[in-house]
Formats: sequence, C-alpha cells, structure tokens
Amino acid sequence: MITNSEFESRLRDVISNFNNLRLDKGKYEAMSLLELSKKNKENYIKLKDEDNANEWLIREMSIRFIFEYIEFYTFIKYEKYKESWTKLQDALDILKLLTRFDYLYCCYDLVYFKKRLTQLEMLYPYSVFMSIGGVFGNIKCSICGNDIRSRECKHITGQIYNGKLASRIMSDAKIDHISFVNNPYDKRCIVEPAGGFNKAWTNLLSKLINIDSIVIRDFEVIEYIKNEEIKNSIDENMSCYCGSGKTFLECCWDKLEENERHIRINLGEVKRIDIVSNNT
Amino acid sequence: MELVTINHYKNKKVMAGKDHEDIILLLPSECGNGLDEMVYPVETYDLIKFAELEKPELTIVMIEESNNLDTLVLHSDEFWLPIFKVLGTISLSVIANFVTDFIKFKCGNHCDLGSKTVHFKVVNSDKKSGQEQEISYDGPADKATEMFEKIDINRIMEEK
Repeated sequence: MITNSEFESRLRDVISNFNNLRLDKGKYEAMSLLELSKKNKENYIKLKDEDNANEWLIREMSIRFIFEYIEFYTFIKYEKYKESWTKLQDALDILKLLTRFDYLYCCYDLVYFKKRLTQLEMLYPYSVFMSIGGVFGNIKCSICGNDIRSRECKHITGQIYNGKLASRIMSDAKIDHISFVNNPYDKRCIVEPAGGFNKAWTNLLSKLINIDSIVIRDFEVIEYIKNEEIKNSIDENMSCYCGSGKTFLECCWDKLEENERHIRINLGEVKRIDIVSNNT
Repeated sequence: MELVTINHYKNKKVMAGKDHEDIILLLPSECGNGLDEMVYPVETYDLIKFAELEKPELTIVMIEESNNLDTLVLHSDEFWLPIFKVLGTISLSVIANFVTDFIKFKCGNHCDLGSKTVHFKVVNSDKKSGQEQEISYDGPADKATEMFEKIDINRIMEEK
C-alpha cells in the first residue's frame, strides 16, 4: 500500500514531466501510479473501509484524469484528431466526477481545468451528435446486481458505494429512435458531413501543438461569425473591395450571406500546472 | 407524450390503504416514437430512492404494475422525469423543489443547474370537482421552482 504522501509525491513527478513536456514519461508514470492506487482501493474495499475506499477511488480518478489529459495532447501531436476528441471527452467525464466528489479528495484546480478543457473543445468543429433513445426491459445495478426497480436496490446511479461508482447495466433493449442533438450524454458519437470537415480545423490543431509550450500555456478561444464581423466593421457605402467600382452594399454585400464559424486564439502566459493541497 | 390520468389507476392496489392526502403518484407515459407502450423514464427509480433517503416527509408511489413496465432511456444530457400526479394538499412548488434538489443531488453542489435541462409534468386535481389540470415544464433546473411559485393553480382550475 502506498501512503497519501507517497501518492502525492509521485503525482508531482507525473505533473513535473507534463510541465516539462515529457509527455511519454508522464504517461508511463501515471500508469504506474494508477495501478498502485487501484490496489489501495481494492484493499480498502476488502476491509470494508468505505471512507478510504471512496477516497482512493477519487485518487485513482485523479490519476486517470491526468493520464487522459496527456493522452489528449499525445494524439494531437501525432495528428490523430478524432482520437484526441475522444480523449478530451474522457478527461471531461472524469473532471465532472472529480468536481462532483471533491469533498472526498481534490488535488487539482478544478476550475482551471474546466475552463481549459472547455476552451479545447471549442477548437473542434463538432456541434451535432447522435443520441439513442430506447426502451429496456432489464436494468441491473452495478453495485448489488439487483433490478434497479426492485425494493432491494438502494443504490443511486452516479453515487459512490464502497469504492465503486453505481451505474446501470442495461439489457433487453428495443431501440426507439436515434436523434441528432447538440446536447448529448456522450459527445463521442459525432456527426460528420459526407465529405468530412473543412481541413482548416486540423491545420489549426496542428499549428497549435507546434506553438512553443502550448501544452502548458494559457490561451483563450473566442468564437465569432466572420461575415457578421466584416459587415459590422465595413462602411457599406465604401467602394467594394473586389474593385468593381460599385459600393460594397451594391456589389458584394450579399456574397457575405454565408455565415461560417470562426475562432480566434489569444495566447497567454505559460502556466505550469501543480497539485493543490487536498481538502480532506 | 399522452398523459395517463389517475382514473386509469384509481382501483389499483397501490392506492388501497394509503391516505390520499399528500401522496405523489408517479405515472408512466407513452413511449412516443414508434413503440406503443407505457414506460417510466429511467430517472424515476433514482428519484424514488432519493426521496426515501433525503425526503422522508414525502410519500411517493408508483402504479402497481410498474414492475411490468419497461424503462425509457434517452441518451441526452437532460433529465426526463415521470408525470407527478399530486394527491392531496401538496403545492406545486414542493414538487418543483423536490425536482431541483434531486438534480442537485445527482450533479453535485458545484453544478450549474442553469445548464441542466429538466422535463416533467405535474397533474393537479381539484378534490371537489374532480377536474384535472396538467402543467408541463421543460427548461433549466434552477428556474423550475421560481416558475411554479408563480402559478396560481386555483385560477387555472377555475378557467378550465
């Protein structure tokens, strides 16, 4: 079993590797610490020490979070952009969990990461997702194995019980519909145009990763509709930019009807991440 | 979704022996798209467990044959709740508060409830006339209580 202070010391090593852009080494050390954390959790589960089992589940999730975060940058580095999106969603899912249970254990500035990951999401073109709706004849609880509808099952989905997260195990399914939505439970089911997305966004991610220290540099993503910005900034009675001699309003104004989503990235200072003292 | 009224269930065993004052009966809905059957949204079961844990003052029941009904799971990041049939003197804002507390419990104290959409219906009935009025809410979880507090249920019942 590793102690709390050993855990934090090794977590600092992982983060130090990340801050110094040694992503592969950071990932390797995170995996090793993840295994140790799991063993600690399992031990506490066996001992039926629920408080410690729950705390070590969150410690395990804290390591998994940094692992997924490093994986995310690794995939971008190797130009695997769709995979990087999946990793970003993995990190966001874990971040939700860490925020939900921060009273058990917390070692990160969760507000910083929430902002950072949300900004990173904005760099992708995905805005429509597939969402499945279905009817299930059988849903079992992952904790007790009983039907969630039975009186025997007292577990609420998404809560932690003795080091385990309660979830639903569904079977006997009848798929009712598949919807296209912008607010799905799982953003990994993306909808892509037949010809694929404009390559501009992959170029953007590629350029971004090549900016010195971008992994640890602050940045702000601002979304805007380019044509609206142009229309707002140009005097419509000025000569048109196309050289026709007509005013902009009489000439190319209508050509700007197609509103495309644009983003601007304002680079900030280098900010090395660190662990914060836990609040337990 | 079509509303199922209490008349459909009034002779069922679940009602027997219960004081009809201050009971919230959770009703299933028609599944809707393509599958013609009555279902409970999956959050119904967590809602009942939450009530037992955190709101023991509320009596929440389901229809007797609920165990034979399938469960609707919608894979969206929104809360789909069953129909709340109010029996007795429970006010609408109690239901709305209950819903908000449930979502806060599920998502955690740091969750921005304004970003969580919730869908539910409340059926209120007039004891004397037996008239029923249905109120639907589809919107942010943090506004539900505020909206329901503004509703003058007596006026609505009179207008019907």
